[in-house]
Amino acid sequence: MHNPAWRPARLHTERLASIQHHFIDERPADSNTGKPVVTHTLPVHMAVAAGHPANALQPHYLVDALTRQLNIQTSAITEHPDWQLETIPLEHEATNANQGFILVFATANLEGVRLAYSGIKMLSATPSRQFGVLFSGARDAEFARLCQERLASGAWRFLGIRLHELGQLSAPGPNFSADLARLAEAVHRLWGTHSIHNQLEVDHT
Amino acid sequence: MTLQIHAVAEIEPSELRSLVVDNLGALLGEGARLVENMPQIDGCCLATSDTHNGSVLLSFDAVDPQRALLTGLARVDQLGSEMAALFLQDYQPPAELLILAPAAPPGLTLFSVACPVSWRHIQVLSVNGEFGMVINPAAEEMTAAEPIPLQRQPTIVESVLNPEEEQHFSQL
Repeated sequence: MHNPAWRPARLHTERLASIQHHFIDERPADSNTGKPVVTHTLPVHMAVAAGHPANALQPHYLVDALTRQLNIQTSAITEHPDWQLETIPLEHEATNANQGFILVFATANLEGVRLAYSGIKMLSATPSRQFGVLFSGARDAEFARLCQERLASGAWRFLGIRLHELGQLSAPGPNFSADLARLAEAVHRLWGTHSIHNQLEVDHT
Repeated sequence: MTLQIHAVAEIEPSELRSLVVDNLGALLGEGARLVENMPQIDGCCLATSDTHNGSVLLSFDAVDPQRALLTGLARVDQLGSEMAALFLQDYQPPAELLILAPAAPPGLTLFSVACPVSWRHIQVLSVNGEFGMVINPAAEEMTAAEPIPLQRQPTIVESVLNPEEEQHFSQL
């Protein structure tokens, strides 16, 4: 029989794990081991409409939470991963050729879809770029699917680009940890496929 | 024939709207017209003036000037959004807000320094049982300041999408 004292401790651990996205560091602590740190830069295009719901996932929260999640999930593969999500200003996008995979975060409404498409159109001036689109703020899954379909069909029809659909991520709630983990896994996979030249080894001293 | 004329304290918004539409020429100059296909906005109507070659949002209230001003400001904000452009072909957001009310709205002097907002005095009369509107010229002090255009810069969406794409992304 297990010592009953273990059970609360295990529950605490699980609870902490489920809410760990709330504890976001300003910057990940630098490991001072002298071992190389692999820096991954993930460019993000924010297609956040003026009417982005207050109860939807907010852009800065996405950046912080996904950065942390990517660092946690990829630490099993890379010894010292250092993910950096960078919001890219549109006016510089066409000249930044080193961005193979770009995450697009869009408000799930018509204006968000239009903003996302406009950004993708400008970004696609550089060939071979891939785009993963994540929506937030839809009133239900069906509406989010409508947004995805409208954007995907337009991107294919006018730009010849197949978008990678990353679904919808709601504001932090009961399922947020699991959804964030799935998103990080998908982003990591897509980034690994399309942005292998984007890695940079940096020695932290 | 004796004319029975008296000031009207209460008038239905739809009747006041009709009066304003009938008097667009007097308010904005010859050639003034309503913007076509404009969805009706409560208490306001959007008009363009050929004379000034720009769009003017009219906000009117027969009794309460403050309500006319606040409603007008809210609608300018609303119409400035990109959503408004989705409903209309060749849509231009309002370049000027014109308040039609029986008195100057409180705070108008302050607003008119920063925004192209002006006021025209109107009074609704009943003449032998029919409504009419008296429009007084604009006060000098209200038009002296050079307005700062409300016109926004074209957004990324407007500058990037071609007509075919506009059509595709006009609805979900």
